[in-house]
Amino acid sequence: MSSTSATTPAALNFRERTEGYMSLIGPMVMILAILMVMAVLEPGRYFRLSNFDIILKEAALYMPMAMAMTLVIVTRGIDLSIGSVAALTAIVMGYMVKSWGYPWWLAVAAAISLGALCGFINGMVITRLKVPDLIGTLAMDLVYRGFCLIAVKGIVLSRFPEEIVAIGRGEIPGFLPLPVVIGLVTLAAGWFIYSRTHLGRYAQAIGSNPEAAELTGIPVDTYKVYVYALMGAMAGLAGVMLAGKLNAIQATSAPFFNLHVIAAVVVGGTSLFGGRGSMIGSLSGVLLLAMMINALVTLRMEFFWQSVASGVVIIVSVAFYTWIQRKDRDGKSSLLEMLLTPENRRMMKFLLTIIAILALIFGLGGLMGPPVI
Amino acid sequence: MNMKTLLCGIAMAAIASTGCLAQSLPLKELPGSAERDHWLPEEVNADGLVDEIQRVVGSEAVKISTPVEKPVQIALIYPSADVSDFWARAFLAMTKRLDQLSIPYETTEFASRQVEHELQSTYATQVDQDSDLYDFVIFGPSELATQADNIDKLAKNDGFKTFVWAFHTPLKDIETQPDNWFDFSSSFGAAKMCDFMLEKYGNDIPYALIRGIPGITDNQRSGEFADCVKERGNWNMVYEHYGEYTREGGFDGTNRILQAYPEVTLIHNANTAMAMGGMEAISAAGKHGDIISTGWGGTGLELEAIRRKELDVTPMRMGDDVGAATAEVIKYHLEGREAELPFVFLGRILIAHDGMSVEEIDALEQEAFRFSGVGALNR
Amino acid sequence: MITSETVPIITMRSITKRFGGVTALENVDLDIRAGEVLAIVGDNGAGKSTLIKILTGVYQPTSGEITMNGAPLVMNSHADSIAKGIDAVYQTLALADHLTPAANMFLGNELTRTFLGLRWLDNAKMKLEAERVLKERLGVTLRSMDAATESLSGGQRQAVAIARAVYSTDLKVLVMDEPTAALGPQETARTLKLIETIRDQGIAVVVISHSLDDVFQISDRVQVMRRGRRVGVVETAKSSSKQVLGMIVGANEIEESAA
Repeated sequence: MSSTSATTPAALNFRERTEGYMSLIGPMVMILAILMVMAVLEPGRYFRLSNFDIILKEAALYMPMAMAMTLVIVTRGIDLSIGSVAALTAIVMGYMVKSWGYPWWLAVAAAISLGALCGFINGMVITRLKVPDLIGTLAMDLVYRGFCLIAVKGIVLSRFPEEIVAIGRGEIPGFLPLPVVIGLVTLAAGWFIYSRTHLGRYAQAIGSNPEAAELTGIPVDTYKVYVYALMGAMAGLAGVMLAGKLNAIQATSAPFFNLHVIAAVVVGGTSLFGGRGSMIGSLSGVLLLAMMINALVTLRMEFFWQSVASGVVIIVSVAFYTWIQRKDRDGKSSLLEMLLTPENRRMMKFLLTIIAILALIFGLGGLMGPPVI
Repeated sequence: MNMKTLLCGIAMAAIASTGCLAQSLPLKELPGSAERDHWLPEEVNADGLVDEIQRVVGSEAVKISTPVEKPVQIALIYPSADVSDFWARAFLAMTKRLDQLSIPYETTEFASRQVEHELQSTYATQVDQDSDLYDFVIFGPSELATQADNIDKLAKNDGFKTFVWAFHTPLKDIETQPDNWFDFSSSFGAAKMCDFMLEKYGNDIPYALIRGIPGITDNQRSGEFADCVKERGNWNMVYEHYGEYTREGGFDGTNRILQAYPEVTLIHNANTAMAMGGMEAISAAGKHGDIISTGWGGTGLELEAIRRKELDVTPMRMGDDVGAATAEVIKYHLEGREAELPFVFLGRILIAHDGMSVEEIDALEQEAFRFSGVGALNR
Repeated sequence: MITSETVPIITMRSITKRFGGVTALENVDLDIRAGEVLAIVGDNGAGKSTLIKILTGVYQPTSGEITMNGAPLVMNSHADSIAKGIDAVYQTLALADHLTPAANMFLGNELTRTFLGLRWLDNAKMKLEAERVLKERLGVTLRSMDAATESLSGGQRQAVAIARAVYSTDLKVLVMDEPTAALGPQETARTLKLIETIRDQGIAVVVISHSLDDVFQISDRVQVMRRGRRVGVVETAKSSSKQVLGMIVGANEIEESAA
């Protein structure tokens, strides 16, 4: 070791050198798997320019939120209210342009600002009222969704100015679609925030070690509020993009934004335990989910497989990252040796018992003959 | 495009053709049309065409005159991941009728939940991209205004014919209208319910609404019913609950009504799932028989409940009409007889209630579910 | 070497601290001299931690006075003490494990540069500075300045935490709470060497420790606490661990041997 000697330190081993890129490996491997499967099953339909355009536009909607959610999760936080915030901000924007005669750009700015306000309120609920983030943002989700319903009831606001529609689905000739550009710009900004600003640095410190952050004089609560406000602003932007994409918005819009975005961020290697995040990982997470759904649709799989696939992808990613983080994974030489620990033997017996009970139950049912109606 | 317009012009001279309705709507305007963002079926259908197709749909199948070599490719984009069996029955009825018509077919389903508007958008985009794969695309929008642009996008595609299921109010804003719309009119059902309820139960009834999700469908089923009984029978709506079309929602809403609004004697439910949940709550509270409760649609589950005298009234759709009519319309398109089709097809709606004999209900049910089968669908 | 005649940089006189009805400290004195290592020992509940927290501004004494170079010193927060040149390295080290050593060293006090009218973090400069401070002041070179702090050994983490304290200008007193508690023998030896290194730079180091072996190896003087009182101060060179142990448990109470 060389910690206290002034000699040249030993070179880094492979694991240490690749540590920073680990968050990319998970989604990249799965993206590669999707590409390979599709190359075998449906190459003609999957690999065409128009399809990648569709995938990118799918993913674009979630990029700004994934950026902010990465920061939220890096602080060990979570925000479940983003779907309602997106719907609420888009509804207000809709009223501004349709009923109150505001120009589109002011309405868009208002939507983003209102989103920031919602996020600020979330932050205050968490830091000042000391309501844990999970329950606090879940409750605020109900509040914001309630406001949506109060505001529009069953009305669908539709037919927005073409600029707003362009934000949601506009094409830039010879270039990427406008929403994709917006999404990538927000993620690039997010990368900058994460690595080059106090906000990003303190978000990592707060999530990594809240007590240490407090001890070093970081205003922890203030920075948490900043992060939630940024999350709200990005949800507001997503609301604008959603409204433009469908050219319509209603109170029940965006019901599953929170789960989708959190899944994308977690799949991208950001740790739910805080401190460790990756903007590029979140980008690949968002792309992975969009590619997966597109692939399932292209293969004309039954709808419910989307649910199964999303769940499997999340479990596989998180298990993968946990495995990478384990320091002693090289300790066991063979896979068999790993599986045959005393604990695993007990688990195996337990599993076999459950299976045996199930078999017994179904066996008994079989003995009793067909059901009598 | 020019060619098409030209042909339309020629066809127009002879008879109103669906192929160019986008240019020629409406056929006539009813009072208040200027205030509506959509056309009523009566404004866009030539007289007698709906009745004629209803008659065809209710009669023995006549096999297609021009033999079809390759299976007709049909894509279905609809929110069928729901409790209501509307979509499954429409699908079954369509395929059975296609069999009877000797039209070979293959189907691809793109399902979603009612609230997943963006997922439907994804499906529409991908199907639009795959226009070489499909001959007919059936689109059941999660919500009409929200999916208007997707209908437009599909209708613009020359690679396939586009049908819209479960809506009958063509939005005026849609640039290129789809080829045909198929639906039961909830407004029509609400009006029938209003007539029946006023006649059976009289005036001044204190009642409650278990509504679905705020939206056009709920406004027609619940809102128009409420307006009608208020105006014509001075009924008093004591409470309204949004049950989001779920069994749980119906259960919760009914429970709340039982606890807090004892004066309520009648509960109007906006779909089957909520009616079922509501009945559960009523029997759990031991209030069975004290409260009149209504369903919506006359689905298998509801008719079972009416036979058990647990549910009192339901506006009953002849459920298989939409699916069977779609099969017939496919035949007409394949035969080149689009001109004989109504732009908006409406299925029949009749009132089923606990005052009917079991045989009467059986006969109604037999007619309604002649393709998809009588009895609760297992799905 | 440093002798007992050197004028103390910090004196604490008759410090008493009560929490409600409980007296944690009673009439405790403490002298800290530049360039010496002062160990504070005592059983659990002897008042070591309370005394240290008063010294670092976390607690305020109920009565008693503190002077620095003869002038009265009043501190209302830990930030005040840092401003006066008194800092602490906690047993937990207060490091954010996911950040790089440089990010940890500058946490809460980042170096920035202005670009496009906005202030951004100057990561490159922080890295260079951190590398320099670790090497020049502590004689430590890390294998990688880019790896997360969690990948460092216990001694290296200790070095990063100390580097954070010594970097802040004019550090006069460094308090270390149980610096060797969680370390193996090798890492302990490295940490003790770090303490010597900074002492040799003229900084007063106050070490709280349970390990008398470490205390005798590193300290110049030992202050023994018992039940909220100072039971004695000994010069390490003129004492034995047996004597100190006796004071800790109260077997032979000696008053102010050689203060």
